[in-house]
Amino acid sequence: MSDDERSSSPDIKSDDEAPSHTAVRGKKRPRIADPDEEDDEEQQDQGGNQDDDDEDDEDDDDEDEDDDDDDDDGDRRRKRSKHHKKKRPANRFLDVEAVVDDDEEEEDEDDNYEDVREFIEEGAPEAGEGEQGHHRRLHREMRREEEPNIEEILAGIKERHARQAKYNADSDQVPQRLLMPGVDDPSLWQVRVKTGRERAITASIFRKVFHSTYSGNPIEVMSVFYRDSLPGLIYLEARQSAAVHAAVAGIVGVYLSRGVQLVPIEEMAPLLRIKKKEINLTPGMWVRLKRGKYTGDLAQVIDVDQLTSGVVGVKFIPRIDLTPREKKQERLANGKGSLGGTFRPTQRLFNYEDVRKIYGRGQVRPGAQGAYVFDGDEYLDGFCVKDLKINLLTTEDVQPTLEEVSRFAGDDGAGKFDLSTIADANRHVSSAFLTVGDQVEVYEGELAGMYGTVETIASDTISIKAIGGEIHGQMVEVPARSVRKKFDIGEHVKIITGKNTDVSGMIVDVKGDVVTLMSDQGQQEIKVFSKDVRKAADIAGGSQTLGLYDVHELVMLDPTTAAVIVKVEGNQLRVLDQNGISRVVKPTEVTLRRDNARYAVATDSAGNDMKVGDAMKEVEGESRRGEVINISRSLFVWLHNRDHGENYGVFVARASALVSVTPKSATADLTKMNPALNQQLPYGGASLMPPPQAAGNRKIINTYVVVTKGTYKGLQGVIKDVVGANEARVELATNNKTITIATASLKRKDTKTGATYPLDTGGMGAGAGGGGGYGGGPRGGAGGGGGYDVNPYGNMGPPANGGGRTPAGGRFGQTPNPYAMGGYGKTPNPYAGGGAGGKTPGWGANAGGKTPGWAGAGANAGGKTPGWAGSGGKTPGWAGASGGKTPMAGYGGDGGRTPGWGGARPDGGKTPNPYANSAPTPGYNDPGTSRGPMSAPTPYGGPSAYSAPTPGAALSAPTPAPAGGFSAPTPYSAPTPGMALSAPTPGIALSAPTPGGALSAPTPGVGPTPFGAPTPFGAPTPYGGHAAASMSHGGSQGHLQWDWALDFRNVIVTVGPSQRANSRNPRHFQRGFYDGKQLGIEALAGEMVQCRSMEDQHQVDIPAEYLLPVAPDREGQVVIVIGGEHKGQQRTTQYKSDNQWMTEPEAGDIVGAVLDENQLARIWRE
Amino acid sequence: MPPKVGARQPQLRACLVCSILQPLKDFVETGCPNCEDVVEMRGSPERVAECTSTIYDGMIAMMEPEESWVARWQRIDKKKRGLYAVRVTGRPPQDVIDAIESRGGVYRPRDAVEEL
Repeated sequence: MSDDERSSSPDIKSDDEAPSHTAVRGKKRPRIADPDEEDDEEQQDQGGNQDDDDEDDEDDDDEDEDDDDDDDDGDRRRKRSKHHKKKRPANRFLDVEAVVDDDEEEEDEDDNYEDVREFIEEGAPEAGEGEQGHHRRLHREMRREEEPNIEEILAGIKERHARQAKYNADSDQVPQRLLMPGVDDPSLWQVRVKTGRERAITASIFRKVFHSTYSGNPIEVMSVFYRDSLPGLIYLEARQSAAVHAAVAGIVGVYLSRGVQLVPIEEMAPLLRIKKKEINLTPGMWVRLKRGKYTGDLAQVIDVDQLTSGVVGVKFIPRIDLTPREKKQERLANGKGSLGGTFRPTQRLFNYEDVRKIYGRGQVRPGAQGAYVFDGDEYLDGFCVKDLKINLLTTEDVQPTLEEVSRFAGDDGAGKFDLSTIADANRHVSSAFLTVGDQVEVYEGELAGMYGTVETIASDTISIKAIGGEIHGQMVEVPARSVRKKFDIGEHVKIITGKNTDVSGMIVDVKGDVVTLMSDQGQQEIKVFSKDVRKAADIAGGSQTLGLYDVHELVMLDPTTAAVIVKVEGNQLRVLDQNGISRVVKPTEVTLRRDNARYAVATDSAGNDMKVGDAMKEVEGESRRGEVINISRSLFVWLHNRDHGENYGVFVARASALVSVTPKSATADLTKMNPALNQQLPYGGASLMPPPQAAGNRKIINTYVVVTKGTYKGLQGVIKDVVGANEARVELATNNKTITIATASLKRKDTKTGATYPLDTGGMGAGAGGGGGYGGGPRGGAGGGGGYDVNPYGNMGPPANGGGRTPAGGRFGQTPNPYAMGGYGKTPNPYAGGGAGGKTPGWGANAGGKTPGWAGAGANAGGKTPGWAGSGGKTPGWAGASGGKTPMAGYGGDGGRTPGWGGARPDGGKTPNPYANSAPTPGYNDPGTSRGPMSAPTPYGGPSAYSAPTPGAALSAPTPAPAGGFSAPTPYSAPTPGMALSAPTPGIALSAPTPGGALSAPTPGVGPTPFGAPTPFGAPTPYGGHAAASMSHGGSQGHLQWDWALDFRNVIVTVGPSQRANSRNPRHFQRGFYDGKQLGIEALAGEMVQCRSMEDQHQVDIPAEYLLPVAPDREGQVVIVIGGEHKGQQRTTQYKSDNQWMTEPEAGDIVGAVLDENQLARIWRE
Repeated sequence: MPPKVGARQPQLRACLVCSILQPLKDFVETGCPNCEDVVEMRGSPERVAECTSTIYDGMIAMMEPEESWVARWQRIDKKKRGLYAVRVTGRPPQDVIDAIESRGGVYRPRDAVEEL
C-alpha cells in the first residue's frame, strides 16, 4: 500500500526528494513581484497549515484506499506541506487572489486538486468560491469517467492497476545509432502543407487518425510530425502511401495536389536530428532588452530556473524618471508625458533616497535582502531585477562593450568584473573569428582538450586536424563554439577587433579565453579574448589616423613645444617634438593642433624660404636629407625620410641648419623673412635669423646660371657656393657635377624666358641681389599679378612705386611694434594700424596696383618678376630709375623694402631685433650696409639713412622731404621713430593719384586676417603676414575692415562676431543676441552705429566692429560697393556667378563691373 | 483524447524526460502520462514548471508508438500515444535524473543531438 510503497521506493520519495526540492527552491532569489502578494501568501500560509492538519487526518484514511491516486496524493501532500511550512516564494502560476477554502478540505478529491484549483483560477477567474468548487467537482467526475476509458483502451487493464505512468527505461540504453531506420520500419512520407499551419494540421491528423482507430476502418498511420526548421512540410509515418492519403484527406491546409513523397531511408534520421538554433541562456550571460524604455540596454541573466517556462531572471540598470514632480506635471501639460513620449530617463542605479524623494515614501517599499520594490519592480543593489520572457530578450550579437559591463561591475569596484563573463556572451559567435590555419583548442564536448589546426569552416562547425593524441593527423569536426584559439606565451599576435584593434604584442599570459599581451606600441598590458587576436608576424603598422590626428601632423604638447605625429598607435600618438625627443602621448594630452602645413614657411641657411614638401638637407651634422613635413614657428622643421629607421623616418632640424637640396633661385619671400613677422618667437625674431654671413656676394647662390666661357660653356647650373671673391661653385644641371668657375664666366639665366643677364658679383651687385630676393618674394609669394612682378623701382610711377612698397609698411603696421603705432598711430591696434595704414593713400596706391595703369607701368618698366627678382644685374637700373626720377619714390622704395632686406639679408641678423631698437628699421640698416651704391642716386632717404646710423637721423632725413613736398604732415608730426617707416607712406600716398586706389585702400587693410588671429602667438605669424600681404598685394579679395560700416549709411547689415582683432569688446555683441539679425544703418555715432532692426524697427546702437554687410541675394538689388576699386559706388546687381556679381553698367561703363559678393552691401532704403 | 492545438488553446509544455506535450493544466492534474513516477509533478505547478518546458522544437503526433520508427528513434516507443516534441530545451532537476538512473535508465537530454 501506499506506505509500503513509500518505504520501498526510497529513490525519489520523501527523504531524497525533500532536500533537492529545497535546494532548488533555495537557489531561487527571493522575488517580490507585488507587495500585496506578501499578505496573500501569509493567508495562504495559514490555509496551508490548516490543510496540514486536515491532511494528517486524511492520511489515516488514505491508508485504506486502494486508489492509484493515493500514492501520489501522499507524496504530493508531503511536498505540499513542505511548501507551506516554508514560506513559499511567489509563484507565477499562482493566482495571488486565490484563497483556499478550508471547508472543502475534507474530501480527498478536493484535496487532491487543491493546488490545482489555484492554478485553474488563474486561467478563468470565476465568481464564487463555493460555486466554483461544485463545478469543478462535477468536471472532475466527468473526467474521471472519461479518462479511464482511454487509459483502459490504450494501456489495458494491467496498466491500470499498476502504478500510473511508470517510467519505462527500456529504450534508454540503446545508442541512437542502433536506432537507425531499417527496411522493416514504416516509411516517412512528406506532405506539403500551408506554411504556419503545420502544427494545427499535425494535431488534426492526429485527432482524425485517433478517431479512426476505433472505427471499422483504422487509418494506419503511426505518427505525424513536423519540424520548426522545415516550414510547410509535415511527415507521416506509414507503411503505405494510401494510409497517408487517407489521413490527410479532407484536412484544410494540406496541399495534397503537390503529392506525397517518400522520404529515402537515409534521410529519415536527419529529419529528426535537425537542431534548431537554440538559445543557451546561462546565468551571468549578457543579453539585451528588446522592448520598452529599456530597449537596447544591456542586461545580465541572473537566473534561469524558470527557463523552461520561457522566463529568465535578468538584472539591468534601471531608467527611473527622477524628474521632480512639478516638472513632470509641466511636461505632461506640454503633452510630453512620460507615457508615450520620446522621453527616456537615463540609466542610473536605483537609489532609494532619490526615488523616495520624488515618488514619496509610499511608492517605494523595502523588500527582502535589502531590495526595494518600486512600481512593481524589484531593485536590488541598484539594479532592477526582473523576470522577463525570453522573447523580450536579444540573446544573439549582444557584444557588450567594456564600458557597459563595467557599469554592472559598479559597486563591486571597477575592474573587478571578469572578462570571461563577456567572453561567454561572445562565445557563440566565435566561428566568425576563426580563420583557416588557426590553432585551436577544443574546450568542451567529447574532444575537450584536443588541439588542432582549423582546416575548413562551416557556419557552425569547423573541421580541424588534430595535433597530438591518439587521433593525430585526423580530421575531426567540432562545433565552432566549442573551440577557442590557442596561443602560447611568447607568440606575437595582433588584435583584430575591439578598441585595441591593430595593436600588436607578445603574449605574456593565457588564461582560458583571455590572453594578456604586452603591446609593442604602448608597452602596456592588454587583456583580450583569444578570439580577438590573430597571430601576426609583423609589428602592427598602426592605423594612419586616430580621430582628428593624422601622421605627420603638427600638435602642440604645451604652448611652447610643438611636435609632429610620427605614428598613430592604437589610441596613442607617437610624436617627435621640436627638440628631437620622441614620446608617446594620448590625444587628450595634445593641446593644440595647427593645420598650418599650407602656410608654414621658414628660412633656410641660405636665406631661401622653405615650405612643406620641399626637399632639404642638413648643412651640418649628419647631413640628413628629407622632405619637409611640417614647420613650427619658422624655426623647427620636421623632415621625413623613409630611409631613416629612427622615429619612422621623421627627424627634426632647425631651419637655419637646412639647405635646399634642389636648385633654388633666390626667390625668398619677403613676408617670410620679415623679422617682424617672425617675431612671434618668444626669444625675439633675431634668433630666427640665419647666422651672420661673411660679406660677399653670397646672394648669388642658388642663382640659375649659364656658363659663358671655358670648357663648360653653354652648360647650365646653379650656383651652390661662392668661393673667394670671384669664383663660384656651380652645380651643373646636366651631369650633376659641381664645378668651380669664375663668376665672370657666368651669366644669370632666366628659367622662364631663357634670357641671360649679367651676374652681379660683389659690392653693389650683392645688394642688388638682395633686392632681387625681395622683389621676387613678396610679389611672387603674394600671388600678385603682373603689377607686382613689375619692378617698382624701375618704373617711373612714383606713386605706383610707392604703392608697391606700401604693403611692407602695412605689414609693419601689423606687427605689434612701436613703429606701427607711431607710424600709423591712429589706432592702438596693430591690425587696425595696418588698416589705418591701409587707409592712407599709400595703401590706396598699393591697392591701386590693380589698376591697369600701374600694372602697365610695371610691366613696361621692370619686366617680369624673375627678371627683377633674380637680377642683381638690374638693380643699377632700378636704383637709377628710382633715384633718377623721383627721390620720393626712391626713398619710399627703400622704406618699403626694408623688411625684405631685414629678413633676406644675413646682415639683418646683426640687429637682434630691429624693432627693439628704435633705430630705423633693419631695412634701413641693410640697404645702408649693402646698398650703398643704391643710395647714391636717391638724394633724400638713401643717403641719410645710410649715413646716419642713428635712428633719429634716419628718420628725420626722409621725413622732411616728403613732408615738405607733399604736405602730408600728419605722420611726421609724430615724433616716434616709427615715423621712419611711415614716412615713405605719405609720400606715396600723395603720389597716388588715382582716387580709385584710395577707395580701394581699406580693402587690403583689414588687419585681422583669418590666419593672423588664431595663431597662438597672437602676433602676426608668417602666414598671417603672408596672407595680409597677399591681400594687400592681390588686392582682390579684400576682407573688410572691421570699421567698414563707419563709411556707409543706409545699408543693410547683419550682426556677427567682432571683426576687430584684439578688440576689447566681447566677441559677440550682447552675447550674440543680435547675431544673424538684419538691421539697417541709420546714423553713426562715433564708433557706434545706429541701427534699426529690419524686423521690429527698434533702434539699437552697435559698435561697428560687429557689423557685416548683407550681400545681395538676387538680381536687381541696389547695392553699394564697400570695398575694392569701386568702393562707394552704387550698383544694381544683374547676374551672379559663384561669388561674383555682375552689375548693371553705369554711366561711363562699357560693361557692368564684376564685383565680389563680399564687397557689396545691400542698400537699406532704396 | 489528444489535446487540441491552436492559437486559442493553452500553450503546451513538454516533459523534459519524455518530451510529451500537454497543457500545463494537464500536467498538474494528471502528471506526466509516461514518467510521473520520476518527475512527480502532479498537483504541483511549481514542479511542473521545473520538469517541463515551453521551449521545444517540432511536434510529433504519435499514434502507434510500438510500431513507429519515429517513436523508437525518439525513444518514446514505450511511451503512450500522444503529442510529443522532437526536441525540448531544458534539463529536469537532478532528483529526476537520479530517479531515472535508479530505475536503470539513462537520462538523455531532449535538447542534445546524440553522436552516432
